[in-house]
Amino acid sequence: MSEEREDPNNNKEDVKENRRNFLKNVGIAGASTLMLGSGSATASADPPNPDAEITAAEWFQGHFVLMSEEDKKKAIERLEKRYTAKYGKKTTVSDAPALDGVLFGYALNIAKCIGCRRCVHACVKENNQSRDNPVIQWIQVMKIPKGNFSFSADKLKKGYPKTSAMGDYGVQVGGNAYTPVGGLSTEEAQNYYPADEKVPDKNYFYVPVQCQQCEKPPCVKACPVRATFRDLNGVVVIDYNWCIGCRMCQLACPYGARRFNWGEPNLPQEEMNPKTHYFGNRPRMRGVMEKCTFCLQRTREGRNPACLEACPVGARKFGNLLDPESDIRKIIATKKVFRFKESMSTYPKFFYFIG
Amino acid sequence: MRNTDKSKRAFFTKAAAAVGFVAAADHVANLISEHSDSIAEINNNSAHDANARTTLLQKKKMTLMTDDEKQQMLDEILNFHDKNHA
Repeated sequence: MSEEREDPNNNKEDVKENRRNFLKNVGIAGASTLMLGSGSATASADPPNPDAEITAAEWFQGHFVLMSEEDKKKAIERLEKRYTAKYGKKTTVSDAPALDGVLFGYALNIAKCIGCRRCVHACVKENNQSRDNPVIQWIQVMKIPKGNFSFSADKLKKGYPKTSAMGDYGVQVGGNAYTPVGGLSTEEAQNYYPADEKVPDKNYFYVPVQCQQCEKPPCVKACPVRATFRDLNGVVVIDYNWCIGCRMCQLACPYGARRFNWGEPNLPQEEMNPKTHYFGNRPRMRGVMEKCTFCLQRTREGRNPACLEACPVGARKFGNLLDPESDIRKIIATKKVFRFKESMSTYPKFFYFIG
Repeated sequence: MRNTDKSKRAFFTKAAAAVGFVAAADHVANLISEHSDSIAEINNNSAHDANARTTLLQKKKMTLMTDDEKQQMLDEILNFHDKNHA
């Protein structure tokens, strides 16, 4: 005690020294941990990342739609360079704009579909989907017992949407307002029937489900960063580089049409489709959403989606809803068309029909 | 002299805290990355998504539309499109 009193300055110096040493040690320990951490991360990855520079540039990239033409060009060049190096083949990334005066619609004939899943495989191939670990498929074929279908032809012309002075709210009144004219329940549907199963089974309907390209898409409303939006052709697209992977859109989609990349997609070099579009089939990365885009890399060039071309029975029809003479408009006008009951307010542009 | 000491101390404290924080963040990131990188984990998560999809789709009902319903739906789609993209 007396010593302390006698030499207070000495004691202060000791405390200072101790603190300095402590801080120095903490600093050294932190830096060592940092270096070790980075070292272990580098050591655990096989080779050093060859396109680290590109990755960094992409990290600071903005929303594609809001970019200047010059920035878009640079972004496309970066991606082409990366994909060409990664997949060992010359890869193009198009940014072809949506077509003028076109609103895409799709119709699928349930009576014709045989459940062969050729559409699924064509889609996987065209759109560079992950082959395994995880398997990602944008189209899912439901196998539904025929007993789930009911139909009453005499009610087909009854009932009408009510119009009031306040506006048309689409309220169904009249003959079949409370007892639907017919329908198809998906209860007991099998979504993952075996790949080697003989199809079609005469006791079942096959209903492929993919993104319905809603005119009022709930997924777009749910996206907190507007990474997903509807393009001029009515197709809901995703800027994969802007997507933050929060999966809100997946929760919002009433059709289960969106897929999340839990891991780095597994796309073999030899199977990669090198003709890609920025918003379409370019290879995705881990942690982002993906979904059907009606093959916009094809449709923006006036071609049909791959699933339609692969269908061996012609169950799929695609066209412009703005053209009254198109196949799709004629189907809607003349065939028996189904809609998903719970989803009227989303206004899907994917229709199911029979006849 | 005292002021210089204080500012030095403050600087070292902040520097040490920053280095420590970055190191901890890096360590946590590595742990998370290792965790979700495992194939089993990826497949588990994907399977979970697929089950959720199945459950969702098995609750659906597709209803046949009357001619008026079809027309109304088409009008709504076209009007909405015109309104937004005209």
